[in-house]
Amino acid sequence: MEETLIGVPIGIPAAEYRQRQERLRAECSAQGAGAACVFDADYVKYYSGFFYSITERPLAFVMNAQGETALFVPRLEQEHARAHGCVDEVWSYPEYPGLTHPMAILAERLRDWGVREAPLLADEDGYPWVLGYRGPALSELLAGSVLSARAFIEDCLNVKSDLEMDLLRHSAIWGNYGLARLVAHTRPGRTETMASQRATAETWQAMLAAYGPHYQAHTSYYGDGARVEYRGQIGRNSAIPHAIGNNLTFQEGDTLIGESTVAVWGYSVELERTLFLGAPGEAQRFLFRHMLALQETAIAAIQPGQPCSIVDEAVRAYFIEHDLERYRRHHVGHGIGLRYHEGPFLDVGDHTLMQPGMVFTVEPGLFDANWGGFRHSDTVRVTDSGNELLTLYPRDLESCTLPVVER
Amino acid sequence: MAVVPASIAIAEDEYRARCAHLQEHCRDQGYDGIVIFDHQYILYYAGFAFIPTERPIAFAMNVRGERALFVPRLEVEHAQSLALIDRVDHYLEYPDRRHPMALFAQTLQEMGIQGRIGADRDGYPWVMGYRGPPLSELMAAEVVSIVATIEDQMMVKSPAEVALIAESCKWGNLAHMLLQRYTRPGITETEVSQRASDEATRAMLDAIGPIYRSQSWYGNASAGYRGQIGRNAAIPHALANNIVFQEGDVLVTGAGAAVWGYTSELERTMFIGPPTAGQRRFFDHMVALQDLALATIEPGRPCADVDRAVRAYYEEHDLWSHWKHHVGHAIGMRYHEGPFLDHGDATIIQPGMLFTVEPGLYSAELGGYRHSDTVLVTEDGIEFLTYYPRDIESLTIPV
Repeated sequence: MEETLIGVPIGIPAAEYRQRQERLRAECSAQGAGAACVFDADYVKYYSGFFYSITERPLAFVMNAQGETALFVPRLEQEHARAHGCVDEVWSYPEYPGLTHPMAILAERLRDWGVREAPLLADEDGYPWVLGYRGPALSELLAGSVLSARAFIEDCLNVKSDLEMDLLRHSAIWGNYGLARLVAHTRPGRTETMASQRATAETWQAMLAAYGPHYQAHTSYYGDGARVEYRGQIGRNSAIPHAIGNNLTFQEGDTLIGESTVAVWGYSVELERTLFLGAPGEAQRFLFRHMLALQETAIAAIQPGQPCSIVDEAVRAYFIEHDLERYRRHHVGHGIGLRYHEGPFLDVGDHTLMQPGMVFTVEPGLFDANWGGFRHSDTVRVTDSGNELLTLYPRDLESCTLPVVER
Repeated sequence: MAVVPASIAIAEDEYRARCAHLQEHCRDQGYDGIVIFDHQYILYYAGFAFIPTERPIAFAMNVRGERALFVPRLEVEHAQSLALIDRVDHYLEYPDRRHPMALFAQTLQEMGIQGRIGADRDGYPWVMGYRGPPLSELMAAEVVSIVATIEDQMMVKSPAEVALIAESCKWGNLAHMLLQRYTRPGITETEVSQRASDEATRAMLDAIGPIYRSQSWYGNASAGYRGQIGRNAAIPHALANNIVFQEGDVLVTGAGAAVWGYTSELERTMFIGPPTAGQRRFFDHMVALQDLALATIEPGRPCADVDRAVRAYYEEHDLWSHWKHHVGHAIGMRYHEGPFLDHGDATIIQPGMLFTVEPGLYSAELGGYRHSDTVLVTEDGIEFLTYYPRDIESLTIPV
């Protein structure tokens, strides 16, 4: 029989989950908490590596003051959690709602673990009431106080490790491929659905072929892993920044905003391009040129040690200087990583200091009801001395002008 | 002359009736108004579909029934297009120099929503990096949870909602039919589910035409296996793994479609090639469990009765080692909702409720066995909204 060679697996290794857990344990001890309890699915994934479908059945990552960890899961996730969770124990309850409420079972397990008088550190005071779930607060069940771990956890997520950065680079390469495929399938007379489906399918197939059976999307935000689409941002409709796809047909002269997002072990960067179907007119070129200059202004302002707000201030100054305020709808960008948006924000009101390891989308936009939306989004990481662009797709007008070919 | 097609979307009057119900609750409980942050609840009461981010969005209604949406600048035009909304207030950005919640406090004050407020949450949840104050602190008000009231209202569907869910079932059925047609040994689950989902989505978009709205981030019809193939089918909530189909595999599928914010659930156990005696035994027990559950769903009985009847069958046939979950859940705008067909849920079954019926059997060696159908509770029993064949012959893929 042939021997199978197993390659080095991609993804976050157990040692890194242990490091993250250790930081949480240190925070527990700093706050004088007897245990930590995390309900948010992205946080559970961050601390345990266990990725699952969110339902009304409560699920939690828990840790005691000694740093012992467990996943609290419904019976139907037991084997799944044992196979993938980087924790010491898996505790399961039969079902929700069941004859005994799962949260009562969790409280009992925590008490058995010695969690009594000391306060509990948690992201929420109980499992959130999602998808029909109803249940008591943890503070009620344990008759103790619950300290919020939310800001601490968010701060941890905002600075990426080298391994997280590697995954973001993988995502950037596949995002680039996806956008190239989307462009190749965009032509007058075709629908956005057709172009998007073909590009998404080709990207996913190429990625599965490249990674083989190792690949895990581990995301609840991008379907099966890749999302390559226009989301209805076509022609005049592209003036609506958060549109939802409407199966529009492409026409010559359209301004389009194409986006390509690929999740790799849960991580993804953001890539968006303003594209023209056929040669752009004067107004389109005017808005495109300013959009590029705004993005360059923003990227130049991203420096470690400076507050996030200076980036938005620099961009706003450009809007004012060039009399473009009426086209402005939103700030410059946001953090990104396990979630499609996260903090900190490139916004005049966010004074968080930029640090090496932070990753931002840079996407100042111009929006006009007649001419549509003009926004590129690139993902940039903060380095020790400045920043580095992770996304690869060309940004210039020629590269973003699609030839008009018949279908 | 332009032809205006009849829309099957929820009509404005129905949104008004939903709000009126909530307004009545507000008056009964002595609230000065209500505040809703959850995006599904906002879609339910205001017909406003949006992508949730760190930028807070809220729906507010005072005791007089005046309705407001509070949105970021980038959603203003979108919100203003809704006839139902009396007032759209906006903030420029999150976080901005002044926190959006400070502006929201002004809106609430002007509407007289202060003192005692009914809300789905005490403030916008800390999602996607959002950080902000609780509503109670912001307004120095007493905030009382109205989630149970909202959930109770959403449990019983109107005829228009049932029609949308039936529409969803139709396109889920098509996606599933294509999934079964394209599944054969040697190809991957990815290829098959992508092809079936893409074709069904295009057929749906072309058939419904430009009036179609998903009102959901995922505007599509889909069918797939989520990795529930062969032995791996023993993990009920598995995730896709790009497995290659082999002869002898037991498969568990899932299909549905997003139609104006509503969804449905269709799942089938299938075999590649003739099932073995062991597989057939599990399949037969699973169908018997589902038949038993379906026969037990009746208006006026508690949900718990259905799970109890099914549990008695597990007991009688010594199947406990293969049990992993209760019988089913309600469904509508969300893929899971309450009430639950669970022995701990005493909610009385009422006409207009919709349930998935999906008792399952799982074995580490022989895989998973679960059909799921979406059924409507009627005045005197149930009606199937899903209509895919359930018998073993129809679900065996020839090799």
